[in-house]
Amino acid sequence: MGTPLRESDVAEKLAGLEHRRVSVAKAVLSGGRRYLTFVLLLFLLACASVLSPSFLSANNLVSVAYGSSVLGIVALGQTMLLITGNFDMSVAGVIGAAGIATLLLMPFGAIPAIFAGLGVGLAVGFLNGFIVIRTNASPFLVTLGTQLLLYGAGLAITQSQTLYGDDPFFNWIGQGVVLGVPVTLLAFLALAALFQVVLARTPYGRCLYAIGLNREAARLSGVPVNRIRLMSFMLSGLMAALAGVALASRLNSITANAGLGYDFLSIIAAVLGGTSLFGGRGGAARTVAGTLVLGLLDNVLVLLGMTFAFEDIVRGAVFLLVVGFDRLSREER
Amino acid sequence: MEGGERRVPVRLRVTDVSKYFPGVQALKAVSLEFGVGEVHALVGENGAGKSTLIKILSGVYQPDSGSVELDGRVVTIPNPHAANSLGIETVPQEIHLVPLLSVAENIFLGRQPRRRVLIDEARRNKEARRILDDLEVQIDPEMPAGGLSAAKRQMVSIARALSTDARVIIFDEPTASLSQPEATVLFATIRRLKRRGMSVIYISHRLQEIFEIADRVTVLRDSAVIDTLDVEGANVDQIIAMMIGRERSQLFVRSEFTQPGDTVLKVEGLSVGAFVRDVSFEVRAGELLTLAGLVGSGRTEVVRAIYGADRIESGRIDFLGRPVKIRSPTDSLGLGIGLAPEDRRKDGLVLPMSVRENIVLAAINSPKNPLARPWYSIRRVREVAARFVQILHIKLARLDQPARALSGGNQQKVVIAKWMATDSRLLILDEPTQGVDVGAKAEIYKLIGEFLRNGMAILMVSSDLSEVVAVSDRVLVMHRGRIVAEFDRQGISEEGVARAAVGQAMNSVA
Repeated sequence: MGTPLRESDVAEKLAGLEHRRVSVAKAVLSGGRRYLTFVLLLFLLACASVLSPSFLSANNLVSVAYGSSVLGIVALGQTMLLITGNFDMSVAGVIGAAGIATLLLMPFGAIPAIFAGLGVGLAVGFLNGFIVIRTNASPFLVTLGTQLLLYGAGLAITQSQTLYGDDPFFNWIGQGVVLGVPVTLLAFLALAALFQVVLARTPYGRCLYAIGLNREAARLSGVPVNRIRLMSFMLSGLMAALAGVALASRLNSITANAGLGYDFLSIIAAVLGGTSLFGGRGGAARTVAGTLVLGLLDNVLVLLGMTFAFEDIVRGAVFLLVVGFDRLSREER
Repeated sequence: MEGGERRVPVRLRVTDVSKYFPGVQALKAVSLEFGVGEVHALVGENGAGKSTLIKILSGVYQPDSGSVELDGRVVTIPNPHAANSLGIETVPQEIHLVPLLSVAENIFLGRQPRRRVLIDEARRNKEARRILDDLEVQIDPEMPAGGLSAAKRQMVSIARALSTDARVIIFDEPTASLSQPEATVLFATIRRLKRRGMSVIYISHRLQEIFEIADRVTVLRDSAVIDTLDVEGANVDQIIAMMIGRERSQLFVRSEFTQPGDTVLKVEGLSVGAFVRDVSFEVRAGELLTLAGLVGSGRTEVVRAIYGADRIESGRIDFLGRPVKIRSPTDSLGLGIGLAPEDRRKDGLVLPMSVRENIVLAAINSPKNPLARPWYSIRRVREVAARFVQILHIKLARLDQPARALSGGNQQKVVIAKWMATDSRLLILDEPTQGVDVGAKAEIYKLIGEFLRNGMAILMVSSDLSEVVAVSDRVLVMHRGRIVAEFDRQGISEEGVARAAVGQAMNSVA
């Protein structure tokens, strides 16, 4: 019996005593957690409308939502993974890589090119999932590795240049408008609805929660844990690739590091909405709310005349706040 | 305490110590004395209260009532550190050393001798060498602890205890991972400790050892002290009889035993890990086969490997007459094999999830089950869950309440319901009634009876001898990774199973 063992015993005991006191605070926190996103959403809307009287017009609201929809699509895929207790940092690399693949293959037609772009996302997702499952390595580190790899490969292929592309159908994805609503925003909302249904009403969705809450119990209940985790990594890759295609279409161009920052932002959006970093809790509708909060936050900062640097400071602070809140309100397993 | 005349002064006296855990009384007014220079063995079935008692003595648990006296002074032991400063050391079953640090560093971990701010390595290594020499073991104090055998790690752990002026050393199943010659060396060491006046508390399931090493033996059963005997003049039969108790045998008996049908599972030459070797058996429809034996004898490893939870080293498994390769629990689910694992809170249930979702968790992944359709119908799931809650008499407030909120017995019923909701042909129950209250126990036995009537086969692992006798059609006893005895319905007795489990041949008497 080494000293560390004893100390951990002691720590365990102390934690037990602490538990009673903490659980009251926890109940308050998790109660607050449920409404945090909506309170923030209303608060930011109120701020923005005070700052700019024209803010609350339908046109402006749609354009704010449109601005967030690329991030939102990434965050939806991220949400599915977060529910299983995994992360995907590679999304930031996939966005550029999928955009590059699409634009490079545009001469073969828009549709094959887009499929190729999405294929890149699926392949990267497969690779991430395969490595994480086989080696049991930290998903955070593995996907950070593939992210770096994708940045590098993208820069090498494009020789660090911006790629441009133009095609009527392709342009429609990022720039088109149906009944006054941008296509990308429609896609985001439709996917959110689809994911919400999948999470609530399919065996796959329910198993995501079971895996996130207790992977071993899920495995021993016959849940094909590894297959489901692999599918979730691939889904996250696919969503990031779709976001990359939409971004390339909106800008008619792409660079290898076009997705810079989308790794953390997509996690912030999901967690801000109420999806837990520890797995087992969350949903697609919540992620829509979280994404909108982030978008509004940017907008309010612009209205206040803040610089980009300040924007990152606020995002960073929000991230820390949300992570701390998530930890404190975490339920026991 | 009638047995055990006081020949030596008392070092440690435990008086009326009781300990409750939610739903269980783990110790009932236990009183015991440990003498100076005495080796005192504690024996009892799993769950008899031995480990609770030593955890109280080593400061891990606090007693709810009663007192502990050390050398005539009442002491409180609020934490393991306090136990150490009082001179109470434990040599645990699993010894944790820091593999990259040297033996000497491990011995003095956390209290390295210092010269001003720096560690005095020379003094430390010399001290370590002195203690190891004293123990007459050949270990270089400067070598890394990582390369040591289990036996030598144990010696380092003992050296660590000696380096702190311990007055009481508790050994928890010290020979579990030792070979025969290693055990002999350990016994010699223990005798030396004894001669120096150390009080040794010795916990073991191997009764022969107790006759070899102990002065007195205390038998615990059902959380209470049954008796303390002088080892001289006692015999194994007497101790086994005290351990299992006579009056319990009648409590639960399965009402009917039917003729078993076709073979459901056939296992041949199964080896798992480094330990389980060459296990072969068959289970038939309508039959309950029990794997009995001590905790750690390899029973759980066998059933987990069959289920696909762990990897099989070698061996052949036939299910319903066809050879099968089971690589994961998902494969088992597909074939119709279910498992209620030993630790149901950790492995059997997703505690924060609702009872309803726990009940259908296997069914929604079972290929032929209607619940596994891509569209998960909440209405159908509710119906299924409600039906099993009713059949199994699961007591709950609502189907949506988290499984965490249920009592142990009701949690176990949820685990069983999970497999009833699939079309299992074979159910593996690992310690199905451990920590379950008497009423729920009886209900679980009733359910087991119904399963068997419906032609299901059951493979059970159990440490509860009265349960083994009451419900089994056939019993296989494991000892050190092998099957050592088989009993059919007529031949099952608590005593026979207990003897085989501790490695005693059936006809030999100590």
